Amino acid sequence: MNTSEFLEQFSLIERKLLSMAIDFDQKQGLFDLLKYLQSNKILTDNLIILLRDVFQIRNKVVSSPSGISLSTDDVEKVHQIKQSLML
Amino acid sequence: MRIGNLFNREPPPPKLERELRPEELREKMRDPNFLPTREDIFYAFKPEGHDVGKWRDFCFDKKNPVFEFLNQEFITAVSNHFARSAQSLGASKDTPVTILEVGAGNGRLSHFLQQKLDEILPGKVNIIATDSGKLGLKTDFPVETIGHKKALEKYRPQIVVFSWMPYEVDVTNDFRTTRSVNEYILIGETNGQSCGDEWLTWGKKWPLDRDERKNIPPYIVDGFDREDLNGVGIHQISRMDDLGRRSYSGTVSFKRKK
Repeated sequence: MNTSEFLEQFSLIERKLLSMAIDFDQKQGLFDLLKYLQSNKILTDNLIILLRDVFQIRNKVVSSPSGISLSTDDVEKVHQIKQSLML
Repeated sequence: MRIGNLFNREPPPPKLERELRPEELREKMRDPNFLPTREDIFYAFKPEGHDVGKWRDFCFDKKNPVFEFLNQEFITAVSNHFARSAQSLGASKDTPVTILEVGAGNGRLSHFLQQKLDEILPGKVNIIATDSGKLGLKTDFPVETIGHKKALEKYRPQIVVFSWMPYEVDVTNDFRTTRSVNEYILIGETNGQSCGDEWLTWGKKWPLDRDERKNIPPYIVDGFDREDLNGVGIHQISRMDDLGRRSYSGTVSFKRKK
């Protein structure tokens, strides 16, 4: 999975999470979105931890000048999240 | 028509941005001296829906990566903020205010800010562009290769600006402990996204982070007030934006309490 493909997958996940967070102010960032989902018990703690990991991967990708290579472990986490969110 | 004009062939005037096709305008945007409007950017990349592929290719370009898509409206809004800050610090031609840019990359931000501030407050603000050089980016305008700590010591700035501080890096503690610094401005993704360190920069804890030492955000402990510059943020376009659908970057000021 290259940078562009990862960001596409991440975008799908983000849209799904936003659709689950009905009262969430979308002007706030992803970090606050995750907090909202956790504090409102919309997602399990295990899924929150997986999402945190993938958010961190996303941040590394966005922060790098021309993207980074993703490990198989990173890709596996994306697949696990998509399965859990039924994407 | 005067006869002389027939022999005095001048090059045709450059095309206005609106006369260019989107692909021509995209090419023009590779010219570091060209500062587009927000409308230009939308026109170049969103002629018939947002082509994410073209956008990402442009922004994640190895030779000239774009983090914040500089535009005229954004530069004007940031400059107006700096002008107000400089005036409150008593800027004059004899004692100009020094703004230090850290992580200046290709130097475009400092270049356009200095241009605009020279119009608003002529001779009263000096912007110095510096970069550690760690990313090996090419520069388009003067940028001094120097680490941020040495730059803080050398220039003793009253204001510091850092656009797109790398992820998991925090240098704001060094800004706050430099006595001359009255204000620092962070541009980019805020609040624990891809710029800086979640806790050290923004005072944000990840969900399920039970570290009890993370209690009061470091900038508050150090006596700084935070202000989100929403009037600037509305003009921003970053590499992650959906062009009109969702915006990810912002500008935040941290000011030393009096």
